[in-house]
Amino acid sequence: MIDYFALTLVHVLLIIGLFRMVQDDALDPLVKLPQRKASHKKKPQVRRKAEAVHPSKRSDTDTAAGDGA
Amino acid sequence: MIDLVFLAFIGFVLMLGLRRPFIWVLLYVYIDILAPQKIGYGVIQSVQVSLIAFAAAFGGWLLLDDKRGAKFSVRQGLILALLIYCWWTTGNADFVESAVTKWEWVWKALLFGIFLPLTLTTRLRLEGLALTLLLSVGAILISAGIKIVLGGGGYENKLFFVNDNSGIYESSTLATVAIAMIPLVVWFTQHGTIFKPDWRVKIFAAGLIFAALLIPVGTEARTGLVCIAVLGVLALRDVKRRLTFLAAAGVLGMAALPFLPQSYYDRMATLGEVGGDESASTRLAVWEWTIDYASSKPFGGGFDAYRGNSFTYEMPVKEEVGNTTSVEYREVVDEGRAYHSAIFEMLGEQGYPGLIMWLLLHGLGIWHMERIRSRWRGRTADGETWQAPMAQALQIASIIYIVGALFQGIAFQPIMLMIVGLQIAIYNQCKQHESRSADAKAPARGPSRGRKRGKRSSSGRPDAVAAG
Repeated sequence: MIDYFALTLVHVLLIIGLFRMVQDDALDPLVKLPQRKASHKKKPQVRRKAEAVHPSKRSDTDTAAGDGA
Repeated sequence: MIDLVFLAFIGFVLMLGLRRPFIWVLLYVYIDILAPQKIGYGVIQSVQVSLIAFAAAFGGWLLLDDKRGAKFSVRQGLILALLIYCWWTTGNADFVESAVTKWEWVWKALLFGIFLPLTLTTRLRLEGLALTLLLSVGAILISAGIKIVLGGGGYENKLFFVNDNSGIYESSTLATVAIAMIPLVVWFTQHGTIFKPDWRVKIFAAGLIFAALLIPVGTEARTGLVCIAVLGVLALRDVKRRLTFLAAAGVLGMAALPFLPQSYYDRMATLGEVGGDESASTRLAVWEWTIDYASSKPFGGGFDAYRGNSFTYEMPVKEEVGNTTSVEYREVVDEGRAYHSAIFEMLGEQGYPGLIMWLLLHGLGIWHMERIRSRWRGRTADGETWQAPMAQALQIASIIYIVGALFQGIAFQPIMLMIVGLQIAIYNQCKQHESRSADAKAPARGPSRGRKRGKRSSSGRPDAVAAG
């Protein structure tokens, strides 16, 4: 009786566990590609943005100062 | 009836494997540990379930499975070398017939140890294997644990599904494996994803740990008591409040004492007097014989070479008459005694080369797990918190197994080769993760420097990817 209880409990857990695993795509390899290309592109973009914003801000200030004057 | 239930379960898992072939690897692990073909007593005994599962696992991986991330490591090379060496010693064995009998299961265990890490290429696969391993051992522990609580147990009593004293169904082996599994059970209560660590998982885990601790008590296996002590010492390394832990362990131990049977005290008392017990005296004599044997045969005598041993030793026998206890030394002649130690098993059967390979295999595992533990501990990023605790659990499992194996001939225990497989796989996964991280960081250090142009940095030191 005790043997049957232990075997039933474990087999129910195994069935649930295996079923969950089969439904999970993470079971199979999903090798992430090296992120060099993505990060390589990102860096200049950030730099260009900074460069583009900064002169425009300066011209705004210049214009406002000019208006005020 | 039970045969049909087992066959239905195996059939169900075979069907699941059609969608994900890796599931067949888990099926083989389940069959290899639990041995349903031995538990059943009808039709299942005539079906080669183990062979079917092995063919499905290997064939499924070879033909259907995704092999990205699979890598052949140094430790797999060591197992392969050991496999080839064992094949050679079997051919030159002292007792060829019995050597071939042992070889028939050893080669399968070693081959599966080589194959397993190739399939464990994702975190979920690692967890799935650990879960299947724990639940398969857990079935034996739960059943035996309940019987012990209800008053069963005792040395050489029938507690298990299979009482043929083989494989994991040998009381000392089960006690060692049960204690070695405890850190992995704890890991599931914190990092499991198949069963989220909620109150149900924690209650089940607590019950399983309790059952595991009961096995050395119920079977009166002295090795198990030594393994519990080792686990306690190793746990001290990472416990936040060490004094509280020690005090709690002491209180629990004291509280358990009144519930232990007298036979348990009597058996454990023999731990301190190695000369007063036939089992201990025999071990010492066999170990001395093995050292002498290895001196004359340094390349080993093949499996079951112990059958050639014969020795005499003196064993003290106590006699109590009234208030007087007299000790008389009697000469005992013994022959064909087993090694009772994996170290001497390897030395006698595979000689010094085999022993060195075996020690290297497990020593490297402990060192690799320590490297992961130190490099991944304290990480908080998503997906980087489970590696260090699992490595630590596998390291403790290895150490407990080696301590247990000092007193048992379990050098080729399949479950421990599966633990080795888990260690190899987590080490490979962590190395690959670190390599990818280093690749991602490489442009930040200088866009002109890439791996294709060489693995050395401008300072001449190896790149992080190569150092891995």
